[in-house]
Amino acid sequence: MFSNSSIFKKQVVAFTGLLLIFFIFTHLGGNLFIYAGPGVFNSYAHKLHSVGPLLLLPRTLLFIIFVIHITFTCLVVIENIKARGGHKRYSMQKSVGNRSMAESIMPYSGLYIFVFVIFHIIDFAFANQHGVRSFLHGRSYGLYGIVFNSFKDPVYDLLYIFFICFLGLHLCHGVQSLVQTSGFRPKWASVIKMISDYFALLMILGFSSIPIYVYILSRP
Amino acid sequence: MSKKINLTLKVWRQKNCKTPGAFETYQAREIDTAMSFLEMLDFVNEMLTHEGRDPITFDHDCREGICGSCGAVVNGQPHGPLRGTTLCQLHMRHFKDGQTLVVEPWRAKAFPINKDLSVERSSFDRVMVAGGFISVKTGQAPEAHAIPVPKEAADNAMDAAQCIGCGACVAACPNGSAMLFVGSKVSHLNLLAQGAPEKKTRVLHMVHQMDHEGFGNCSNSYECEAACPKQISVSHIAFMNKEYRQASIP
Ligand code: HEM
Ligand code: FES
Repeated sequence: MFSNSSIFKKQVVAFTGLLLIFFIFTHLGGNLFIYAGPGVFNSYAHKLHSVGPLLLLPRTLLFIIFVIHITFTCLVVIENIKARGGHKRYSMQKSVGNRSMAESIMPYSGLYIFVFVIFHIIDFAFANQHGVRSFLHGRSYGLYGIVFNSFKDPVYDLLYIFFICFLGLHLCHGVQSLVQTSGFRPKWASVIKMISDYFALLMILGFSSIPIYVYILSRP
Repeated sequence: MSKKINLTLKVWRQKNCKTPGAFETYQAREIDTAMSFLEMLDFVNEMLTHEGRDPITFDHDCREGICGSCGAVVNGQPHGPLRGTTLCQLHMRHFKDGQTLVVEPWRAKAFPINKDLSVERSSFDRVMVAGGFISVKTGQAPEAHAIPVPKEAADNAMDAAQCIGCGACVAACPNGSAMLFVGSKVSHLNLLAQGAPEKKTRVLHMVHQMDHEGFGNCSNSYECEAACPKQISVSHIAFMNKEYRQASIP
């Protein structure tokens, strides 16, 4: 009874969502080392990699969490489409309350994040750390060089920021939603909504600041 | 002061759940603004009957906003544009002369259409049968003060008990979810000492039945709370989420 109920599925989505939020947060923290210059940034990346096989455990865990989140949301979304009785429902549809745009596009923002993550992993994580992409002024700068060379391109930057905005929208609804799904709704629920919005904004600004910084730095 | 207005109605007409339905357009002339929405429909039905046409079927009973029988989606909003009101308590003075009103039934997989604007809501009854009750010993009524109830619990239970089971929450929910209805019933009974013995089985069984009936999952869009004629808070959904989690852990 527990395993396939609607509430159970939503609580799995909420819990995995929370874990993904922790990851996103630490990931941003790590990325911000770029402001400290190539030495610090690379030694951070290097330290992370030097843990070697130990890194496999958190990576696998993260992968599993991601897959669970997606699997359960797919189940939930398919059920919801069926439950409302087809795709087109009312001939005139109007929000009664203040249904947020962020909430209504959750499956799409999720999908954008998914596409982005796949690309992002291939682009940065699997890149040859000392290949041509890491070269700046004729010398390899490791991961720093790769990031620098990618973000030099304004089209790449805009695309990156575009996807980050979808992450922001996902979190904007997601953070406060997971609190409600987990069974907490204090009198100050509006404060939670506010925290949710500001957290999402912080993530958008944090992640977007890096391509903007690199782009400005790369200008002659 | 009441006045008369003219309206164009686009009403969903459907013979039964098996045949497909369609909109039909009617001119509702000389509608007194003191009429309720249902009285306006009665008025239109009289006209249709005079013309030898099939009157519009809609559910109603008390017409005082307390029984939960009535309801239709008016211009995309369950129970119409006025917040905290049932369709029977929505008066025509809230509409403008010359306005077009699109009137549709609740739409959800778990609410098949009986006819026109009347939908089958027995899925709600089956959810209630699954756990929306308390067990008491028969015999003399117990002394009212025998079981003390904390003020906050009493207030919350009373708020939840306002639910009239009209189904507007399901109609408003983008996922056709019944979480506000079931959450209210669970809150109402689980918060009180009288409901405590069956606390765990109640939430498990009612949620199980809710899923079985084909209602959707909650995405926390909070449309239900806004559409509820009794303005029941989504905090009751959060409460049910908590009760469910606690009941599931042995
Ligand atoms: C870093 C990545 C992600 C994070 C941090 C994240 C976080 C969250 C959170 C916190 C929720 C709210 C849970 C709740 O209301 O109980 C949520 C819901 C959701 N997520 Fe994600 N998510 C991520 C990736 C994805 C991906 C890749 C997809 C889809 C392919 C996805 C699809 C969804 C959907 C559809 C919902 C809404 C479910 C519903 O309320 O009905 N998410 N996510
Ligand atoms: S007819 Fe009873 S609530 Fe409207």
